[in-house]
This record gives sequence, structure tokens and C-alpha cells, in this order.
Amino acid sequence: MESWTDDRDPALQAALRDAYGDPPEADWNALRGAVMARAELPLARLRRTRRSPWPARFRALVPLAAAAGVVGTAFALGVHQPEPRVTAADRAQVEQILNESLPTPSELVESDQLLSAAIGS
Amino acid sequence: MSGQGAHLALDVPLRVEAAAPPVDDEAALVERVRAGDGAAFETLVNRYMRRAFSVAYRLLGQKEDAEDLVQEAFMAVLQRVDTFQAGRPFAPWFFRILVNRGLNARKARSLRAVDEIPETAAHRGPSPERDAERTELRDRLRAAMETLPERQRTIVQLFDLEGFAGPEIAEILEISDGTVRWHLHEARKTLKKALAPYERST
Repeated sequence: MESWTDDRDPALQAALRDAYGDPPEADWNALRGAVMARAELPLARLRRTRRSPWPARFRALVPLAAAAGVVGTAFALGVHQPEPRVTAADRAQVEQILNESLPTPSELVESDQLLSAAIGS
Repeated sequence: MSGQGAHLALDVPLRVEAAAPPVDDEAALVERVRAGDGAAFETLVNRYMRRAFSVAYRLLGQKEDAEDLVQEAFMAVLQRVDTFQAGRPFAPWFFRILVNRGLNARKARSLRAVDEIPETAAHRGPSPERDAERTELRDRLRAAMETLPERQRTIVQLFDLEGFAGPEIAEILEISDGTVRWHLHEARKTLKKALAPYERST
């Protein structure tokens, strides 16, 4: 970088400083006190942020992430529930029971006649 | 830029700027501030408060406004400390915050840079004639400053009144070193033109 920082114009600088004067003296203790008083809350926030394992911008996402986890777990359990094992023998047995318990056509006619008599039609 | 054949014949003292504050431990201080360390923050406040007030006063021209601006700048440091790049110097980053806020405040309030001539600068001089001449010169110089584009005026205030170096100003204003130099050159041309009647050949 070209060095030009000392390329000042002392006369112009002096004229400017004469025209504008030095800044007034401030009450430095009061100013420091005001700054430090206003800084208390932001500093406390910074301390809290530092203690948290999560950066501040991610902390808001924690409840959402938890909710998503619950939903995801429930979904996974529902979808991936293992199918019960059914053997061919089991199927045959169930079919037989169902067939035996079904009424025959003649039984259906009889039951229809009984029902008609019961309701008097 | 400084090799002009004529110069302003003024017998005003040139204020010598204090040396720049130490920066060797500032990375550690900023890191502690990031963790909410009040003592570290207070160290930075003590270190930069005076110069910050001086710059703020140059920008806003009023003591109360300057004090408010200093407070705002330090609060902004706490709000944005997470964005501070470790390993970089603190001062340019801090003064960028301060100057940007100061310029915004100046625009918002439509303030002129300085509205009053401080008493310390207004009444001193060896004779009534000399006093009158200097008062006229001050008025003319201040009027010329007001005609400068805002960026040029800010650069003159930082460079000639506050003693910042060109590269520091470049970093504060986020412009190139060459641009700072060009603005300064243009501003000086304007100011010297305004002061031409007061120049005496060497």
C-alpha cells in the first residue's frame, strides 16, 4: 500500500482546528456510567447465550425440532410395524372356520321366513 | 499534496494527536465481551470513549448529541459483537459503527457539522485586527466545509481534525485507500480556494 498517511497539510489542518476548536470536555464518569448501565442487559444476554450449548439463532428451532422428532418417531413406528407371520396352515384353518360359520342357502331362506312371521308380514 | 508553493500563514498551534491505543490485547478483550464479560467491555469503553466522543462531536456538533452517539455506538458493539471477525483490529470496526450512525443522525436531523464556534477558539489573538481576520477566516473555512459533499467533509473531519490515517478512514468508511485520497485532494482544493485571500507567498 502506498504510504501517504503523513502527507498532511499542517497549515490547513491548523486552520481547520482553529475554526472548529477542540471538542468540549464531557463528563467522562457520567458517560462511562451511562454506557455501562445500558450495557447490563445486553451483557447478561451474551452470558446466557454463551452458557447455552445452542447458538442463539438455533435455539428457537429446538421446540420445532422436538415436535418433528416426535412426529417422525410415531410415523416410523406406524409404517414399519412388522407384519404378523401367517402360515399356510393358519390360513386354511381360518378359512375353514369361516366356511363353517356361514349359513347355507336353505338356512338363509328359513331365517327369512321366520323373520317375516315374526314381524307379521 | 503537501508541496504547494504557498501556505496559510496562521499562528495557531497544531494539536498533536495522542498515539493510537494499544491493540495487542483487543482480540482477547472482544472475545471476553462476546462471553458477556462486563470488565472487558468497560476496558474497551475506557479506551475508546474519549476519541469516540471527539469524532461524534465533529460529526454532530453538539455535546449532548455526541454523548448519545457514543452510547449508541457502544450498544451496537454489544449487539453485533458476534459479527466481529476475530483477528481483525477493533478500532476501525468500532469507528465504522460510530461514523455510520453519526452520518445517519446528521442526515436525519439535517444538522450542520458545527453550529457554534467554541469559546476557546473564538477569542484569542494578538490584536483586534488579527482577531478580526482570524474570525473571518474561520467563518469562511466553515462555510467552505459546509459546501463539501458529505463524504469529503467526513474525510476531512477524520483526517485533519481527528488525526485518523488514510487507510484507517478507508476501513471505517469501507472505501478504497485511493478513494479516500481522491476525496481528500478534492476537499482540500475547495478549502484552499476559499482561503486563497489569506494565503501568503513564501
